[in-house]
This record gives sequence, C-alpha cells and structure tokens, in this order.
Amino acid sequence: MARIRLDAVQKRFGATRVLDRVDLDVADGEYIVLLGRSGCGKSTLLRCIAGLEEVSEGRVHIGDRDVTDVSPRDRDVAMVFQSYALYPHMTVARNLAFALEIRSRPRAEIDAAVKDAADLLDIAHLLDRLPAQLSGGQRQRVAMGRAIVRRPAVFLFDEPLSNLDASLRHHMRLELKRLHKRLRGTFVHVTHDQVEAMTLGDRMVLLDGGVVQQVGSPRDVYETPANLFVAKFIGSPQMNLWEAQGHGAHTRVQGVDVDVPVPADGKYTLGVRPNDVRIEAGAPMTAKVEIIEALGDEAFVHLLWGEQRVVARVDPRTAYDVGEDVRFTFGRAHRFDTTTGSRLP
Amino acid sequence: MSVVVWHAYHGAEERALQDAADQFEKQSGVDVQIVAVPWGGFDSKVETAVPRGNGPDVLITGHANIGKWSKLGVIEALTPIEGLRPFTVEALTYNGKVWGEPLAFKSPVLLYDPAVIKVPPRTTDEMLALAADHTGPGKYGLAYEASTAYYHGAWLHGFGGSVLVDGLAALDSAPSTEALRFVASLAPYLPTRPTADRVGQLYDDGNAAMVISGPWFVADRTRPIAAATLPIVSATGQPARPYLTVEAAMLCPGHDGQALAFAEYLAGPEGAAIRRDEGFQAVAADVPLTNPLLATLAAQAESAVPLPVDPDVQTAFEAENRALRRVLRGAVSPENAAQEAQAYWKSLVKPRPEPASPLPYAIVATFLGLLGAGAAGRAIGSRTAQIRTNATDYLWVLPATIAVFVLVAVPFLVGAGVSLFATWQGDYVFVGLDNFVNILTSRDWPLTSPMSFFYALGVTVAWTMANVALHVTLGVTLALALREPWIRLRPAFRALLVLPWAVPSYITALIWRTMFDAQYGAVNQLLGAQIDWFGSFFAAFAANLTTNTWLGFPFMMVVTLGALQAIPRDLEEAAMIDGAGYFTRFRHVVWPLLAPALLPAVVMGSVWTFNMFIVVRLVSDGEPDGATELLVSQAYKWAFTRGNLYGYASAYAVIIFFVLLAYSRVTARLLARNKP
Repeated sequence: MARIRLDAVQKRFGATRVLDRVDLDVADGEYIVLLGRSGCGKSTLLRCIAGLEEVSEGRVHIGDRDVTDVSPRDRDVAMVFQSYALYPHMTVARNLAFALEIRSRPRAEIDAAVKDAADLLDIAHLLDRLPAQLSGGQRQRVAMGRAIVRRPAVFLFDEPLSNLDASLRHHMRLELKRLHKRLRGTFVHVTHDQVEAMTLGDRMVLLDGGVVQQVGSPRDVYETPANLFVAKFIGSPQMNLWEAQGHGAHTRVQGVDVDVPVPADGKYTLGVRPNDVRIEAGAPMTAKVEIIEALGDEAFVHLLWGEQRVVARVDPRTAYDVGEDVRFTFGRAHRFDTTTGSRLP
Repeated sequence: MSVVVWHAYHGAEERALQDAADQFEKQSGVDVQIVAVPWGGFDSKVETAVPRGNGPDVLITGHANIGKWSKLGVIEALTPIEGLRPFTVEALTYNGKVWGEPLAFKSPVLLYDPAVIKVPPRTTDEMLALAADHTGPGKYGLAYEASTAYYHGAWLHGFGGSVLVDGLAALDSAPSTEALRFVASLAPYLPTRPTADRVGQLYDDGNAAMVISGPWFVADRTRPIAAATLPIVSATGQPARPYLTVEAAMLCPGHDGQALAFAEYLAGPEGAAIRRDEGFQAVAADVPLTNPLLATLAAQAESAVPLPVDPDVQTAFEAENRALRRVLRGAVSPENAAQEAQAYWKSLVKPRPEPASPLPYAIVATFLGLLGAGAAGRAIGSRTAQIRTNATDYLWVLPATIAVFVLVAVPFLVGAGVSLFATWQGDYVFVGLDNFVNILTSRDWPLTSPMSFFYALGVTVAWTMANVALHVTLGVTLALALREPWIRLRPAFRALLVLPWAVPSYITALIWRTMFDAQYGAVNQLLGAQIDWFGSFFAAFAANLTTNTWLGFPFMMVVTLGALQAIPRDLEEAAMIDGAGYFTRFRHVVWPLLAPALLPAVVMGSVWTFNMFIVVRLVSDGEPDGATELLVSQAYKWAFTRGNLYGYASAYAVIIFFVLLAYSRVTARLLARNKP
C-alpha cells in the first residue's frame, strides 16, 4: 500500500549534483531514517519523496503508483518541517483542520479527526491558541498533529527534533516511536543525529555527497559498516583506524606488531571500535594513558601507542593514572580498503 | 552700473537682441546684461521679483500684462520715440499712458505649404473648399489650435464680435455664436485637439496643407512654408482679425539711468534694423519690411486686434475655450455652447463679495489661540524635568522641527488664512467662512455639475479606489510572478518593472498623454481604433487611470516583494502538502500574511493618489470640460486659470486637508488594530 520505491533518483541544481542514483525500497509501515551530515542530500531526498523537489532523473513510486510527476498534494504524504511551518494566522484547531477543510470534508468528520489527533498528542487544551502562543514542544506536537490528522500513507519528518532541547528531544523520540506503533504508517525521518537514527529507525540510510553509503538496520550498520565513511560516522567516540600491513600471521601498524583476530595479507586500514579495545594485564600491546574521559556510567581512556592514538572504553570504576603504561589487545576488528574505503572481508 | 534686461527670446531673436546690445555698449559705453528667463515662468518671476526690488531694469515681453503690471507698479510709463508704427504705440497705451517702447508685433497669419497650395485663399469659403480638397486619411486641410480663444479671435472679430464689451464678456452675442458655428463647419478638416507641437509635426510630415500660426511657428519649420494674410470672412465681407501682440521694452521702477537710452536704441531705427535682419522680427519702427513673412505680418497687423489688457480677459478666454472644445467635439450646438459659455463666465466672475465682519472670527481665533497656548504651556510645564534631561535630544530634532514649521506649518496657516478672503480683481476682501459655505453647499452649480465640490469629491474617491485596487492587484501579481522559479532573468525583470517609478512622473504623464492622442497616439494604433480619449468622461478617466496605474504599481510591487520575503517558504510548502493548489495557498496562507504588511502602503498610496495632481493636469487636464478634475486640480484651476480666486482655491485646499485628516484617523485605527 504505502511502500516507497526510488529508482536511480538523481537531483541536480544547475551543475551541482545533490543526489546521485539513489535506489531505495521502503517497506509498508517501516520506519526509515535518512542520516548524514548537513549538505549530504538527505533533506533533498525527503523533499523529492514529498514532491517539493522534482527529480532530475529516475522515478519515485509510492504504493503502486509512479508519483514522479504527481504534485505533492496528490501523493498522500504528510510532512513535519524542521521549522514546524505552522500557519501563524490560524489557531491550532484550524492548523490541524486545514488539510481536511480544503478537501471539503464534512464538518463532523473534520472535528472528529482534529479531536482524535489532539487527544493522541495531548494538545486538546491548546486548540484555540495561535502558534505564537505555544512553546517549542507544543508547536512540535501541533506540527505532528497536522500530519496525522489526514491519516496519510506516508509520514515525512525533516529534522523534527533538532529545534528542541536535549530532554524534550529524548521525550519526543519516544513519542515518535509510540506514534509509529499506533499509526502503522510508513515513516521517513531525516536527521543528522546518529542517536536518533539508531533509536528510531527500523532501518537507516547513510548518505554522503548525495550517494547512499549503506542501508541497513542500526545493528547492521554499527556492526558491519560498509565503508570507512560509515565506520567513522556511526559510533561515539569514533572507531580507531590505523594503516596496517599484513604479512601472513603478522600484522604491523607503524612498525609495531599487533595482534588481530583475523590476520590478512597486504596493506589495509584496520578499524577497532573503542568497545573492542580491551585493557588487560598480560595483553600483548603496550600504550601510555594520555587522557581519561569519565562520563558516569561509562569512561574512555585515550592511549598513546607509539605515534598512534587508541581510544578504549573502560569500566568507569577502574582507576587509571595519566602517564601510566597499560597493556591491551583487540576484540573484534574491521578491515577496509585504504584507497576505496570499502569493507574487506 | 549696468542695465539688466530680462527677455524670453530664443534662437535668432535672442542672438539679434544680444547683437543690438553689443552695438549699444560700443556706442554708449554702458554695460548691458541680457538675461534669458524661461517663457513659462516669465510672468510669475516678474510679479514676485520686481516688487521686492530684485527685478531687472528692462523687461522685454508682450503687451498683454500692462494692465495688471501698471496697477501692481511693476512697470513705469514712458514717452515713446518717434518713427514707430502707430498701432504698436496704441497697443501699449493703458489709462492714457504708454508703458513701453514698442519693439515688434506678432499675430497669427495663414501659413501654407507652397508645394500643395498654389494660390492662398482670399475668403473663408475658398479656404473651406481648399481644406476639403486636402483632407484625407491622416491628412488635414487646415491645422491650428482651434480650441483656444486666442486663435479663435480671428474669426470672432471677423464676424464682428468681441470677447469683452465694456469689460463684460459677450460670449453669447450673435457674432460670437456665428463664429462658433463657423468653427463647427471647419471641424471636419481639423485634427482633433491639436497642440502647437502636433500642428508643427503635421506640417513637417506634409500632412497639413494650411496652418494658422505666427512667426514663431515659421522659425521652427524644416520645410518651405509660405505666408498670407488670413482670409476675408465670406459671411460678413470683413477680414479675419487675429489678436495682435506687441512686444516692448518696459522699464521697471528704480531702473538704471541708462535703461531708457537702451530701450530707445532697441526701438529706434538702428536697433530695429538689427532685430529685423538678424532676428526676423516684424519691428515696430517704421522701417521697410521686405521679407515676405514680415511683409505679411505688417499687412495682417492692419486688421489685427491688440490682445486686450483687461485682467478679466483671462476668465472670458477660459469660458470661450470651453465653448470651443465642446463645439469642436460636437457635444453641443454652437448656440447652446455660446449661452453656456456666457453663463459659465458669469459664475466665474462673481460680483464684489460682501465683506464680513472679522470681529466674531477674531474672537474665536483668539479664544482658540489662548486654548492652544494654554494646552501647550501645560504640556511643557508637566514635562519640564523630562525636557531638561533630554535637552540634547530636543536639540537634535530642532532643525527638522524648524524645517517642518517653515515648509509645512507656515504655508498651511497662510493658506488657511487666505481661505477666509475672497479675491476680487486683485483685491482681498475678508468674507469669513463664506468660501466654505459656498463650496460645501454648491451654491453656484448644481451638485451634478463637474464644477461642484461634491462631483469632484465623487470623482476623486472613485479615482482613488480604482487606482489603489489596480496598483495592489498588479503589484501583488507581478511580485508573485517574479518569485516563480521558472522566471528567467529575474533581476532584469525586477529592474524593468521598477522603471516606471524611477522615471520622473511628469515625463511619464506627458508620454502617456501623447500615447492617448486621438490621431497619432500609440494606444489607438494598437487598438486599431479611433477613440477620442479626452472626449468622454469614461475614456478620459480610463486614460488617467492607466497612466497613474503605470506610475503606481511598482511601489506596491516592491512592498509586496519585501513582504513576501518575510513569509517563510515552508508555510507554502506545508500548504502544498496539505493539498492546497496555487489559489488556495494564496487565499489562505500568502494573502492573510501579506495583507497586514500591505496595509500601510495602501494607506500611503491612497493619500498620494487622492492628491495626484500631475497625472490629471498633464494627461486629461480635466477634460472633458472639467469632468475628470480631482479636488486638488480643481483647487489649482480656481487659483490659476479661472480668474485667480485664491481665497476660494485655498478653501478647497483646507477642505482637502480635513478630508485626508479624517481618512488618516480612520486608517490609523485600522493599522493599530492590525498590530499583533
């Protein structure tokens, strides 16, 4: 019904290529997150799905229809804007009802739909106010209410949480998740925040320079990043990466022999997440503690390993001294082609 | 010491004057300064400068103003030299005295294209027959400014009439009516509503076989042109007798001792010869005039009638002009036009008003003045501390306050004061609120007459509403169009569309006036029609409206472009996704957000439009017969073209002020309510 399919979608603004042959298949009822840095094309991709931008090449399908040349109003999509885009001269009730009113739905149906949406989002007491009289969080809810009142097949969210403060953002993240469960619509959510992507998405799409870098579940993307870009982008602190030279069972990083779980021949980029750096007595490699970052329920130590740096996630209860020598080893490691950046087996 | 001379000559006449002055300097050793003053501003400059001692020693101008100027003391009488043509001295005689040394005489004559007309007509019947022969599509047998009383004088006198008889207009006399009937018979061969420029253009293009005009017309021509005296009026056997203007050197009070010597030299045989041979003037000195044009002028002068010097003639001319326009347009029969003109003249020339006692007014004014002073005193008193602490700030606004006081408050108070007086033959008579009562009760005209205040008010309100509606519609539409992504060369369009605003508005108005010309105008050519744009109210109103819309839409467009920038694109996109089409988006999202920003512009624009003098004055000039006059141009006409009724005109201005004051109070309230 509301599956979204993008076939080789390209978007150019003049000579600038913003989206380069994007293929994507979103299942009905799926929550998919488009993730990337600002300027990576994620918002443009969302706007192409909405119909606010025309694609330069390729096709866009929603449900069983090719909507490439269909205007936004006939695509059966709803969108929540980063700025919320509430009509400032209309009350909350009219903001919610607007889409139904211009479709000339019966008054009773409109009122019922507005009431349902308002109850669902807990904004029934705000219906008579103007947007200027609402707090940021309340506006956010109204914007979401405006999207759901129509019961569209596809919901599009353009950085919906980025204008909220941290605690509210966390709260709204959960609300979004609940909303998705209740409405069972297809959600497409754009964000630059990997936490949002990891927590909300059934699957996520990583974009860089208008090119899809990886599509997969948050787990997949985290565990098996498809390339160096994804490896660097997902995970905090960032994955440790070094130039490595393998020779049979021996692997050397800058003249130091290292112990990797699965050795390989030739030059490559070795990646180990801070989680997978284990500090243990009697481990094969030695490094000096440079900085300790304690975050309460977790801690990271930054190690100087020759001329290289290593970040390791450690038990916050274990005490380390700056300058102290520690021994460490790697758990799981990733290998990437140094020139192309793509993942090696 | 030097003799300062003001004149309005140009071209050969100016050069000849300078040469004569140089000769005089050489012979007498007296320094002469020749100063050219633009013809359009000559009279008013003289009337303001001379009484204040800023005038020249000698004025060179036509004799028509000697009546007024001798009364005002702008010029002095003198004894003319010998050897002048008697009729030139006669023209300069007023109240038994001669008011200048006659220099040259001018009058309209019959000018014709020698390539087309072999023998000039001797009678009006011959002239009509010739005109008929040479009239065809785009071609006119005869071209002259037929709707002006000045040119009409030739026929009026030829039929034995006169515009003033014993100081009273005789516009409905039998000869006047006959002369109007004769002009009506000329109408088929004449271009509609021609201006001097248009007549010249017609002749230069070979589209006018005969022209009635003076030596000034000949000087500007590029093609050969021949001159003859005007024909004999067939109906009476009398010659057509055009108005004669005698140009003279007049002396201003307090002139240099050598000024008279210079004036006499200019008028005398030596100066006359220079002016005749180099300036092609028909000189007043009795020297031979052999040049064919000058000879014709001399012959014509024998039958010509000196332009009356009575100040009232202007009012009679205004009434006569109106009759001529109506007859030529075919709006009314010559008989009715003559009677209307006489009635119109009577309404313009009011009997000497009964002076009112200034006492009650003085009491009220004193009372109000005291009240105002008291209020001001109290306001200042209660704020002394605040004024003292902010003394520097008050100092900063002081220059602007003084400027506003001098440039706005003082003229307003003087104007308001003048509105309590009636002007009668140059005198001011205190009449209190009589002007206001007269205007507001429409005492002199029926309510439906274009001369009534309420008619003009109705026209002005309709004009304002129509204009503002068009400006906003066009401005908003264009601003929206300029935002569309498919528009290429956007900056170029934006610049082009602001252009009408950037061009001085009087130039634009003159261009539109030309484009609405019935024969040559671009508008009629585009429409493929022959609409006489200034012949009916709706056409003239539409012409004015078009011009002012052209002038007014860029402002609204620029304001809209600015206001649109303040409307986030998101809102429209949200509406787009919500299912709104272009017009729904405009109606429900863009317009509600645009309207509050446009309201101040609309208020301002409507005040400008309400007082839009330039367009009405330069495009329709109130045609037909004052029907498209606005309040502000009515006030102007009363002050400057209908017998200088300054008090009456000031009363108009004061009423306009109060109308706009009331409007601004209402809109201020509207604006305040609009504030979030």
